Amino acid sequence: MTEPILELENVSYTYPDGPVAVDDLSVSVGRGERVAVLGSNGAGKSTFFLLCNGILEPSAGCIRCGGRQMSRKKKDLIELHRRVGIVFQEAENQILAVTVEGEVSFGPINLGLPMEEVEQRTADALQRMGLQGYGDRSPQYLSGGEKKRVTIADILAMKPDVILLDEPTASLDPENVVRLERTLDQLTQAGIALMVSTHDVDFAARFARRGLVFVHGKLAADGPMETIFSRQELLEQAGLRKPWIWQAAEELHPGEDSYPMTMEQFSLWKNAADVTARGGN
Amino acid sequence: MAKGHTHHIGGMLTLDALAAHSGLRGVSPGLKMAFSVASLLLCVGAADAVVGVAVACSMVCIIRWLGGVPFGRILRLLRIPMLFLVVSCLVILLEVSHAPIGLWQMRLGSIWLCVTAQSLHRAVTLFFQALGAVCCLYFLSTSTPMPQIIEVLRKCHLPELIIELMYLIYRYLFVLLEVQRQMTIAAMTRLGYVNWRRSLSTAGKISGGLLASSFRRSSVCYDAMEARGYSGKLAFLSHSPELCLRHALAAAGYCALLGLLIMVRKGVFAL
Repeated sequence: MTEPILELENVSYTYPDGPVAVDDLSVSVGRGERVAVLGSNGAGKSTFFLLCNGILEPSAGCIRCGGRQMSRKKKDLIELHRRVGIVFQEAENQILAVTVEGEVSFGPINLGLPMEEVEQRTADALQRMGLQGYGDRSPQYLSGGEKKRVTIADILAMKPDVILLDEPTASLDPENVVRLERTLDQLTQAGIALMVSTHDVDFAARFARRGLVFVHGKLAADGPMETIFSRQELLEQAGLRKPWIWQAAEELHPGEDSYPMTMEQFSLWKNAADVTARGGN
Repeated sequence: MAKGHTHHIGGMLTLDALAAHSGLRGVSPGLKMAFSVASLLLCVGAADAVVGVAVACSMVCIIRWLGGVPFGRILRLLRIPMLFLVVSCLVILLEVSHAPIGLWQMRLGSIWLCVTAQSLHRAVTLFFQALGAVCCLYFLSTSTPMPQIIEVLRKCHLPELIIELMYLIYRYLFVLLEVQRQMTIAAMTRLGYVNWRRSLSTAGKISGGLLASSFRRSSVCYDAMEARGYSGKLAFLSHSPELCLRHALAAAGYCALLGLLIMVRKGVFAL
C-alpha cells in the first residue's frame, strides 16, 4: 500500500443518548486509494465519515492524518476538515450559498485564505467539475447532476487529500452516474484518496478494488472486493448481495472461488473459460 | 436554463427567475437600488396623480424594454397589488354622512354613502401614488437578484447577523418550498384534498411535517457547514456588476426629469 494518509486507530463512538454507533474501528487509507464502504442503513457508515472529518469526537481511539495525530484543538480540527472532505448524500443539505460561485468559495473563505487565492481556487474547482460559466447561477435552478458536481467542487476548492462521498449515486440518473464515475477517475488521477459509501454493489464493484463492510457499527471486513463477495455469511449479515455480473457468471460455471464483477472482467473471464473448455475437448 | 420542474413552485420563483435573466443584470445593483428608492421617494413625496401615472408608465416601460419582461408578465405581477389598491381606494373614495352630498350618493338605512369631489381626488391621487411606488419596487425586484441586493446591504453596514440570516432564509425558502410541493403532491395522490375538511387537516399535517423535516435537516446542514470549516462567520465570494458612468447618468437624468415634472405640477414655475 502507498503511504497512509488517513488512519483511524481503535476508534469508537457512542451517540450521547444512543447505542454504540462505531465500535473499535481501525482503518488506514493510502494516498490516491479507492475504497468502497458497504453496509446496510444504520450500520455506522455515516458516523464513520463524520468521525474521519473530525465533526464527531471519538469516545475512544485516535485519528492520524498525514502521519500526525489529530487532537481536538482548533488548529488540528481545521486541518482535518480541510484534508478530509465530505460530499453529503443530499446536495440540498450541503448547498448553502445562493450562487454557485459563492457556494464553492465557502470552504476556502473559512480556511482564512487571501481573497485572490479564494477566487483562484473557486475558479479551478468549477473548471475541474465542468461548471465554467455557472458562477452566478442560483442552486435552485440546477439539475440533480449539476448539484452533485457543485457539491464535489465545494470540497475540491479546499484541496483535500481524501474525499468521502456519501451515497453519491443515490439520486442520479444513469447518465449522471457514468459522468460521476469519470469524475471520480479524475480525482484518483489527481492523487486524492476516495471513500464512497453506497448500497449499489454493482457500482461499488466497478469503483473499487478494496471494500469495507460495516455491520452494526463494527468493521466486519476490510479487503479485496472479490473476497468480500465470496463470503456468503458476511453478505447476509451485512444485507448485501453479489454484483449481477458475478451472479450471472456463477450461474454459468458454479463452484469457483471468485467471479468477475465488471463487464471487462467478465469478457476476460469468459474468453479464459472458453479456452479451457476447448482445451478440455 | 431554468429546468421545467422548478417552475411549479410558483410566484416566489417568478421574480427570482426574471431577475436572473433581466436585461439590466449588468447594471450595478447599488445604482438600481438607489434609483428605485429615489424614484419611489419622489413619487410618494409628490402625492400627485399625474406624477404617479408618469412613474408607473415609465417604470413599466423600463421593465418591458430595458429589463425584457413581457407585458403579460408585468400585468400578472401587478394583479395582486392592484387588488389591494382598488379595495383600499374604494374605502377612501366612499364617505359616510347623514345627508346626501357630493357627486354620487347611495342610501344605506339611515345613513348615506357619498363620493365627494374631495374624496374622489384623494382616492385617485392615492391610487396612482401607490401604483407608481409599486412599479418602482417591481423595477428593483425584476432586475436585481436577491444575493446582489443582500451584498449592497452588507456594504451599507447592515449588521452581519441580519445579512447571514437573509442569505440563509433566501436559500432555504426554495428548499422548503420544494419539500412542501412534494408533500402536497404526495397528499393529493392519497386524496388528502378530497374535501374542505380533509384539505384543512392535510394542510395542517403538511405544516407540521415541514417543521419536523426542517429540524432534522438543520442538524445535517450544520454538519455539512462544519465539515467545510464553518466557525461562526458565513461569507461567500460574490461578484456584482461595477458602477458604470453611463448608467449613473441615465438614472440621474430620469430623477431630474421626474423632479422637473413635480415642480411643474406644484406650480413652482408660474406659467
